[in-house]
Amino acid sequence: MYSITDYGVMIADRPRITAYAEAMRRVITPDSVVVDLGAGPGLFAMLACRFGARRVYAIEPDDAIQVAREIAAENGLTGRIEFIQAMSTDITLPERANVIVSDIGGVMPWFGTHLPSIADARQRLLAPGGRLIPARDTAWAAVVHAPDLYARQTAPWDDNGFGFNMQSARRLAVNTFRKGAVAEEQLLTPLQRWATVDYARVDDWNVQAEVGWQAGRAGLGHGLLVGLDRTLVDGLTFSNAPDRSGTLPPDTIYSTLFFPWTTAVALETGDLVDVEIRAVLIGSDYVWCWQSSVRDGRQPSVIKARFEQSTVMQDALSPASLRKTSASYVPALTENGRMARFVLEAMAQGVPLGTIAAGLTREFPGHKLRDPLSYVAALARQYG
Amino acid sequence: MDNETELVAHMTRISLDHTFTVSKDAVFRDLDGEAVILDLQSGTYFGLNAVGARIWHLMVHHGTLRIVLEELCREYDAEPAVLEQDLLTLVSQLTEVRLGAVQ
Repeated sequence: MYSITDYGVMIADRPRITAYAEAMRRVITPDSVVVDLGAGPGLFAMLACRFGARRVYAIEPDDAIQVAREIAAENGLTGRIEFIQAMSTDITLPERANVIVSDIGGVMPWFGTHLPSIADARQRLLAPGGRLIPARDTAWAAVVHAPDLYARQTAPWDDNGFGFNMQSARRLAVNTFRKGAVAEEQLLTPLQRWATVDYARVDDWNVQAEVGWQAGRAGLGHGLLVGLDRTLVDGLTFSNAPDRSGTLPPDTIYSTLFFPWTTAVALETGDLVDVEIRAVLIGSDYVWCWQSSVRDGRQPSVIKARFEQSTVMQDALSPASLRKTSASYVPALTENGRMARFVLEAMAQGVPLGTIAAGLTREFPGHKLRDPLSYVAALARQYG
Repeated sequence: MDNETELVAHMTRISLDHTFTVSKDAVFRDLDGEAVILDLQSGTYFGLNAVGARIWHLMVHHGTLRIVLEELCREYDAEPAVLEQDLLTLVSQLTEVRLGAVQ
């Protein structure tokens, strides 16, 4: 979850906030019922009030909603906004909304449970003919010369200053994508559109696309730069597409994403680059895969490089941890697991936290908890 | 049929003349000789021990199971019949969970 500082950074991103505000101003009428999905400190909910909405529902699972309540009170809006601390997928509303505004998608729409949440809200919370803000995302990609971004991920492992071979860590680093920007002249290929998400229709949480380029200029290619055009309402779009990334403020929320290649590839003008990009929602997180091949533009049968990369490879894992991810692994409860089970079972029986904490100390005299009540309370917050 | 019976029935349909092709939904990760394969369709992981990981690599490289077995016989001090059984069992399991297909 986000800290108050994180929320502050989001609100300070003026190009983003002003675009959202303008989109809301265009569609909200005095009859509007508005849902602010993932409301955080409630700025969109208050803007909806300012633009005349009849009723506003601010939905936010995090405790940040308490700050939103206080801010609304400070601005005399308490009676016009109903604050609901829950996941939107877990609630129903007494009326359907004419407008649902949200900004819970991260840099790319394929982020956490963003898409299932929007689709659920569209089906259950939005009135027929209602508007979703944003309306549409269009994802773009280009091959880039990005020595600084690439070095940020690989240099510590290529040259640690002590002569040690640290390539095992490098293999993880090049399977990780990160925010990063380049100047337009660092694009070695034109932009290619590789996906569009229409929020009025989206019902597939995954994306798979094949993109092909012909290098427009020679240079050392370090990977892909990915970004999007976000259409908030028809006619109102803001962009962090790769050709604009160098012009975006350094603290923008919507930067571009840099997907490095395993090794840099010397591209000649006319070389052919083909990439399959795929993001698959597994649990509540996406696994990203990017498979790239670079062919000689004059002799297309000559493959200059081929990489198969995935975020599956980005985390440091021991063989023991790997075994624990296998479907055939049979887990056994540790002491910590038994303690958590004790707490959860007591919660299920309606036992007060203090009594559970005392029972925990009795049942597990060797435990190393500094404060059993805090431990129990944390579990209660998560599962209660 | 129980799982084991199904596996045996499936195995009888696989021979060394087959070629193994990795599913596009399979993401392989090896580590210190062992490995896991993530099935992007189901979101489940399939664990491989050191021999299984080596077989996977050989199948990706060679495809044809007969050639994979020849390579295994060169690398491991075990009876060819045992290695063949291990190979066909693993291929059976992998195809059952759709991490690859035989042709």
